[in-house]
Amino acid sequence: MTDPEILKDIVLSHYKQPKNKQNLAKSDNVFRAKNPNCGDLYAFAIESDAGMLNITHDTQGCAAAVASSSILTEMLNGLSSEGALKFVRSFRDTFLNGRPLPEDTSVELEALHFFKQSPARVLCVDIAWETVENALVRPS
Amino acid sequence: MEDIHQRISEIRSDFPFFSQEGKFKDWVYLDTAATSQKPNRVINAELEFYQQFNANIHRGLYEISEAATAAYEKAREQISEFLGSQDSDEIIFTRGATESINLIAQSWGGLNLQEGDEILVTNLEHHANIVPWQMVSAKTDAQLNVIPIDDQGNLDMQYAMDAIRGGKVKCMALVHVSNALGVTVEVAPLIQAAKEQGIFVLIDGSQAVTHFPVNVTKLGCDAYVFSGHKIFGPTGIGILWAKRKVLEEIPPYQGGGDMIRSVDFEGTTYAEIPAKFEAGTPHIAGAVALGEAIEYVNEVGFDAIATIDQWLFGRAAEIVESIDGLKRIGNTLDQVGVVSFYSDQIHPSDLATFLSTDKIAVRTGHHCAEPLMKRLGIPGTVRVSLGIYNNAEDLDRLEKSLRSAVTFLS
Repeated sequence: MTDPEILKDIVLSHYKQPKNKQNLAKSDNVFRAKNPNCGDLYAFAIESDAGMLNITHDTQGCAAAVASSSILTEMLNGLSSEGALKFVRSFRDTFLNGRPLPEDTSVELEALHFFKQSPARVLCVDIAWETVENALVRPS
Repeated sequence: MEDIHQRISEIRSDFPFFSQEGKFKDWVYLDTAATSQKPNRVINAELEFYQQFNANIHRGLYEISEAATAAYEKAREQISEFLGSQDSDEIIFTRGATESINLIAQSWGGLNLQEGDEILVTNLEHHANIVPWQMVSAKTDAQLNVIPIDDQGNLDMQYAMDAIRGGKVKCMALVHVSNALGVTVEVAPLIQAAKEQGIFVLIDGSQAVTHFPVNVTKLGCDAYVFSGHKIFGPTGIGILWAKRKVLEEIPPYQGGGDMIRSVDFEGTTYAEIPAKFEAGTPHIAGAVALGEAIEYVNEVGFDAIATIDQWLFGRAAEIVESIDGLKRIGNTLDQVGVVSFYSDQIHPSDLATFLSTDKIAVRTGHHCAEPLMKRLGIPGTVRVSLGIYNNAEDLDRLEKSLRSAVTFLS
């Protein structure tokens, strides 16, 4: 178990300087979602080059929403569609169903698990993963 | 009044939540606009009802049922008096303000609204005073007309008056005090103008009745609603007051037992008011406990409540205004009970999560008033809402935690 202060710092750094974030106004294949509780907006553009995914996002929201979107892109970029889908399903299964974290879990994913302490914030993290899961199972 | 802090301390000791030894010992509760904590006498009234008086009301020809009925009807009298109604049959027990508004929208609106009619609401409304009107509009082809507000939540009174006199508005449904901003709407001149035009007027007093005395007879509206749980009563019980003439004219909202005079398969004769609108077994213990909550408010007195409200609001507003980067919404003079604010840099949910780790309960988001947040151009606010049991230490802890949160999250 990593020191909670380190996990907080990871979330904050992804929130303040999110990775793979850009304006998606001109992108094709954008998948959007809205958190019904607070109105936060999630957006992901999914491209594939030589079988490898390149996901960018433009999520506007709280630290959990932005950090989750940022970490998601870091975890999935470079994977195949099938590999990414497997990764997303595995993360959601652990995150939503309260299963213990596997030993080899990256510290970034562990940081997202930090939000499980507050049931209301679980959704903030999960919407990003749910949106991308739905996008990956849907043929574009 | 004696020393204000001494009085708050006495009031606070009436609320067992604050002296608990349970999991939420030492929490600072600043979410009273969502639901208030309950004084001992309200909790005891509900307990005592179930322990000593529990029987179904009306029709029971034995003494326990008669006692339960008497307790239930006494609560109706207490609430009638509290609202300044001249006739306790005009008090209908519902599940809450939401059900009260739905009842009026469906029963009055279904009977009286038609294509081309307008329902005048404000941009401050809670969803409970928007959605029921949209539902009846879909059936009747009436439409909503929304009174705009300025950036501080003040109503455009000229727009309201023009709409009222424009000939299309058939119904006006106004919030008395905004749940999201604490802004008090000056309803009296609007009601007067509306009644001159024969417009039906409903006032949503959910956030008002805890803070200042309301007299429906003097206001001159047709219906007034509030929820019990926001005024120290139990959840699941609320009030619709409406003029006898209105209640007698409109059809029942729900059918069932207790709301009938006679039933056969060819047809049913409805009971007189208030029974006509209280189908099924009501929340008897809740009504009795709400009566007790009203007595509690009467005992504390609105003079003391106003003094405490003013101090709490002033201190909370001062805290928010003294922290760089936080923007408070509203003018001081016409607000009560709620200090709502936001930051351009920090998301409200992140502030609330930080405060929660310091055991401080506030609410964030759109506060069931999405159209209001859209108008203000923000996703939501952090809302500190105050009750007469909040003390100086609560607000000192809020200040300390807010300062740390802003430093940490900026």
